[in-house]
Amino acid sequence: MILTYLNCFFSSIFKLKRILLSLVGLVFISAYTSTAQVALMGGLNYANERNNNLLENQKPIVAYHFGASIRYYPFKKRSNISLQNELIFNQKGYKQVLDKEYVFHFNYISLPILINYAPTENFSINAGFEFSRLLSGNIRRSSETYNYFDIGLVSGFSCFDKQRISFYSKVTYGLLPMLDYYTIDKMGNFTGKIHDLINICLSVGIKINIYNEKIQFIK
Amino acid sequence: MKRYNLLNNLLLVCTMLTLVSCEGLFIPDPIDPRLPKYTENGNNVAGAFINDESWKSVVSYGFMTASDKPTIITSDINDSLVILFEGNILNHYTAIEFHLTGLNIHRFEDLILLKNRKIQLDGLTNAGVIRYDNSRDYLVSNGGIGQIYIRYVTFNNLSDKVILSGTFGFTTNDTASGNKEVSYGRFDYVFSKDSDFHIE
Repeated sequence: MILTYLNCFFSSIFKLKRILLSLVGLVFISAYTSTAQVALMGGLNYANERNNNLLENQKPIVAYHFGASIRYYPFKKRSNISLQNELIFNQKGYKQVLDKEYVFHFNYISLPILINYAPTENFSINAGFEFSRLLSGNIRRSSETYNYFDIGLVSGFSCFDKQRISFYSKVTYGLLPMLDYYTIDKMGNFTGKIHDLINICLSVGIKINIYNEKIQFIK
Repeated sequence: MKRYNLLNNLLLVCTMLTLVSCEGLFIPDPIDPRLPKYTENGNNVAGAFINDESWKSVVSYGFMTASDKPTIITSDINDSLVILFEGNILNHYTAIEFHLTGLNIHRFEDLILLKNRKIQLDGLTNAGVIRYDNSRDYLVSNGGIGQIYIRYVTFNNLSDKVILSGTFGFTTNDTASGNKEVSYGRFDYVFSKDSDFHIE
């Protein structure tokens, strides 16, 4: 199962749209000329969907995420400010408890781009944007039902960044509606269109620095 | 030996044909997953709420068998049309029928006249009916009042299959079970000229 998800993660990298690939390339070009820290990361998501009273008996779900992050320090005089880019396989969704429990999983490939500020040595806060593309879901034909692109605002913090293992938590507040659908009344009249269901997600996890010290791609 | 090989192969093929079934595609409605999503793809599904219970119809094909298949019956004499959706509530047979008149449907090709047509059910000339199984007797409710909206009609290239998609809702009653409200109904079926369309 882990191999399946890893395969999905790495194959999804090659499916990124050109704009995302350009962003990734830009990140690594920038990192090439500065010091950088590379880490593997993974953890849990507490996910739900914001909506305008659309869903009955809706509840959040616990899901997961994993991926890699690269943090680099482009400003020599401001070593407590860094830029962080991640590439993560991100599961979000929600559930509804009706006659039985209906669980909706949405699997994204996400590219957060964050600015980090470390007021102390062992604590830092970050904020930025997350660009996500829907890869799959547990619902049949989910790509035909739900919008495949999402942008979110990200805010979070991390502890013990300079250690081999650090901890982080962040909230991703989606900006784009996932669903474009009809409103149908009891008699079957089409009364309008819905643009709703927006991702919201609390993530907690650990990060394992591959290199314990700052690395430099070129000297 | 050759005979036994042939029999074995035949048995294998029959077993595979029995096991391989082509089911209707049930995509949960993104707002209420107890119902199928409204589609116009010929997914061979239908759903509705009958009072608080969810009624489902998912066409299933087996080896020489089929279940929950819809049927259209037209009559030249009365200019009447019966549209039958077979399904179940909690695995109990329940069918929803529409008895319609004055639509001028006499041939399979005439079904195009139903496209984007909202038909009001008055319980007399046009009616929605619930047919359900109770101790092997098929009980039928009285004619229901509401509407059926056939939103999408399209034929395939050979004009021997048609996709009909739409929505419906009506209220009815019967002496045994009292008032029944059929709500948020939707259907998306493929009808075959040879097997699903009958002229009486």
